[in-house]
Amino acid sequence: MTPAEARQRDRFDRKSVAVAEKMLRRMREMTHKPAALEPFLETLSRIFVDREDARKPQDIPTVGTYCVMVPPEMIYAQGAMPVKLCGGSYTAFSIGDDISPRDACPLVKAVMGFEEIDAMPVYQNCSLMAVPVTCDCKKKLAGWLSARRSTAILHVPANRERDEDMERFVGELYAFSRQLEGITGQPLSYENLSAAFRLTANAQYQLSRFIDLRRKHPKIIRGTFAMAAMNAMSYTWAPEWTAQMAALNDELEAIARSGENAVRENQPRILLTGSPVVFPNMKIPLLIEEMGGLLAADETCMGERGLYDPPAVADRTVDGMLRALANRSTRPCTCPTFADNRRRIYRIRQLIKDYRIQGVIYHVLRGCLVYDYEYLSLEEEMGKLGIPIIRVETDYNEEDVEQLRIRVEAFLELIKYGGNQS
Amino acid sequence: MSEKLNAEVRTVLEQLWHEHCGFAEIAWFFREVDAFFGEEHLKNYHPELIVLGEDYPPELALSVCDHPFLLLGGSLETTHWSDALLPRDADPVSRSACGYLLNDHFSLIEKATVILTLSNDNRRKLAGLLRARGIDVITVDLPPVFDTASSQEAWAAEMLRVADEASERLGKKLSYRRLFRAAEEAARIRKVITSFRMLTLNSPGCMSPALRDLIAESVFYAQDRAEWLEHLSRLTGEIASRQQRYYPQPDDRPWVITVGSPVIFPNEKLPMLLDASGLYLADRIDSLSMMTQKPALKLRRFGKPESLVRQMAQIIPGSEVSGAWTVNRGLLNSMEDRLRILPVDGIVYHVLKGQIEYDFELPEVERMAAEYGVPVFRLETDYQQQDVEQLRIRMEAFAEMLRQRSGERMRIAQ
Repeated sequence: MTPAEARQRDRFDRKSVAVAEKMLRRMREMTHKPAALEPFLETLSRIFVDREDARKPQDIPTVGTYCVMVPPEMIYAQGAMPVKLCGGSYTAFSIGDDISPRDACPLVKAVMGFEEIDAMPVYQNCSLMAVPVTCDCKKKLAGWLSARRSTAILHVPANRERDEDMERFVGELYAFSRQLEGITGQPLSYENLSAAFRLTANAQYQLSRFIDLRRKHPKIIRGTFAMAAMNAMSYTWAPEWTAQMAALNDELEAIARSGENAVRENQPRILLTGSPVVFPNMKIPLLIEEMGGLLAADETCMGERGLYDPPAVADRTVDGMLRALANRSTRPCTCPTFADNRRRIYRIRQLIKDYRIQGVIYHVLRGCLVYDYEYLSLEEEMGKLGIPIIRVETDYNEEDVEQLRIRVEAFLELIKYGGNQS
Repeated sequence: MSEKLNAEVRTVLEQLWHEHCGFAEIAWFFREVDAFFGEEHLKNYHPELIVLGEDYPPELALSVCDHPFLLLGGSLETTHWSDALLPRDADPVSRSACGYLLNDHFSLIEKATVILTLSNDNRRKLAGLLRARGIDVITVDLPPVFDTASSQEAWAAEMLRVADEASERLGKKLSYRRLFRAAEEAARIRKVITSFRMLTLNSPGCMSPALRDLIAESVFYAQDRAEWLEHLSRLTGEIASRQQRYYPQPDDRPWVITVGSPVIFPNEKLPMLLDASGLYLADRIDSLSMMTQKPALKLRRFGKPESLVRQMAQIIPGSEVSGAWTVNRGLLNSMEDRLRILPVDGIVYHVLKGQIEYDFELPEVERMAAEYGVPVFRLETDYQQQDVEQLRIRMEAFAEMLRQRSGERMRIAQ
């Protein structure tokens, strides 16, 4: 390592730890934090502050995934652990900024920065990177990563209605399985895939309990906490996360019984949708809740969407289960990578109804063009429903926080005093 | 308002009109392009098939429709028409294409089926936008890699599916005979364009590079391709005969090639800027110019469409300059070819705002150019004219640097 590289590494260490600590502190300082949330925050702290690798029960390889469309069941089944590596670090972003095009999205810049700085065990210890090609930046990231690391590139069909599209994605999953077998030596079998399905089904059950609780009691927990718990899932062994979520659900049920609320009655209920919110970039959720709003629900891939849909197995064979995974990963998905994504609007309408949403914040990470394209149609739809919507474009730095704060505050006041009774 | 599009086209044509050494045949190409963009023509033009994107093989389009319209974008005026429909960061090519399709001035889509290759995010979202407005769109979903057997198989299957769907809509069955004829015609067009280009390279002073490229690409606006072929052959003949009679004037301008985002008529800003800065644009490596320079297929008189498309799958994707691939190998290979065979002094890396996929290739392009000792100049722009003077200053500095380098090399050689 040259002296310049050592200095850069040192700067990265100090700054990235400071940002992660700051975000964790802000979350811990928020009122009405359930005690059962702590394990999730500890996981994030272990990964981003203590720089540890993801904890696994045995010495098995980890597989880095760059999108929720990579089925974790396959990775568990073949004897590895999935970790979601979409980057949210401001410091890694600034390193990635030097080696990527100016207009690349910050998430991809952060990933490139992590890869370049070679300082995060959770990134460096991955035996395989799985990159579904969902947008231009991910496509180019896949090419860039494959020159450095063992990489599985998954072609996500842009259309998903026809059987042929699904057939092609099933083919991609088979190819991915062969690559997994290359690193673990374990082929896909009915037994191991069934066991992996059970792992994620348990996690999904706990998540559905959590979602159900939030639907029935929208004020029971702050959305920032929910997002932290979902982010922690990225680096946690599934059964461990399930147990943590079960404990959180138990505590929330007790809170619900006591009739206690995490926020005041008149706090505007906000839905966050758009580009993913990846720890430590918790800027937007924190701003919403620090400014007196309640992040009641989110429609982002790092939030509930990541584990929301269970696979529907019609044929109990390995092939049948893979098809169920291919279906689950694409058909109900509301990612704007798909050419026709009308279902995202239906999903948002459903969320608005379920969580009695009063306003929508549309999060666009600079350069995330696919989300930006869908803003106009959503704005039109929200206009019909009479739900105010605001587009917030941001980056991975703190420079725009005060401007965003003013906008978010004004938006919340508009809802609070504007007579929106949705 | 469509007269504004016509005025934009006319302005460029007027600028290019005098940029040749008096070849009579050129007038025909001007008339053809001008007529295509004429107000009346656009109002009454209702193609059956519109192909949006350069990644769909013209052979396949021609095999299901005699006169498909290749919609390229390129107009500043049509980008204005789509302003309210697309996000701020959408690239100008998609903006312009969207403006051509969705506007209040003419209706290209009245009877059309649109084939849209999903080679980037803009195209992908454009497909949804067009469908939401009731337009019949067939999407071409390209695999992100092209050099594996499975991806070639996927490419061939997708191309065949799209051709089949289009043939069903247009009522023209995809047959080997039609595909063979279309491939033969495409090969003929490429052959004539190649000899035309080679001749103009031998005497760079015979016409400006912008005019040369417009003539080569005017095939996309020709009403009758056979007639177009005849006129280009005649023009090539005129140039050849001029070269035999007169010794070509030596041209001491530095030679550059442009690499990256496509230059699409009527947006001739970049070629004109290069010309004004005293640089000779020897060749362009972009998705559009490479359409006319693809490797030839081995055609057999009898067979099945599948076998020919499979052959295409082995040849075409690898030679394409397309943002669809994780690594744009076609761009790098084509660039290396030019660096080997042409006396290239510099490379202008052209990035249209919003075409991020090309920006990702820049480090590789710079690395390869460094191996050949050729400097690279990155130029980012859009279809607006506001940045022309700034670009001119930068370009002139680049040209000055190239001249000094070339002078230095001459001195060392002596």
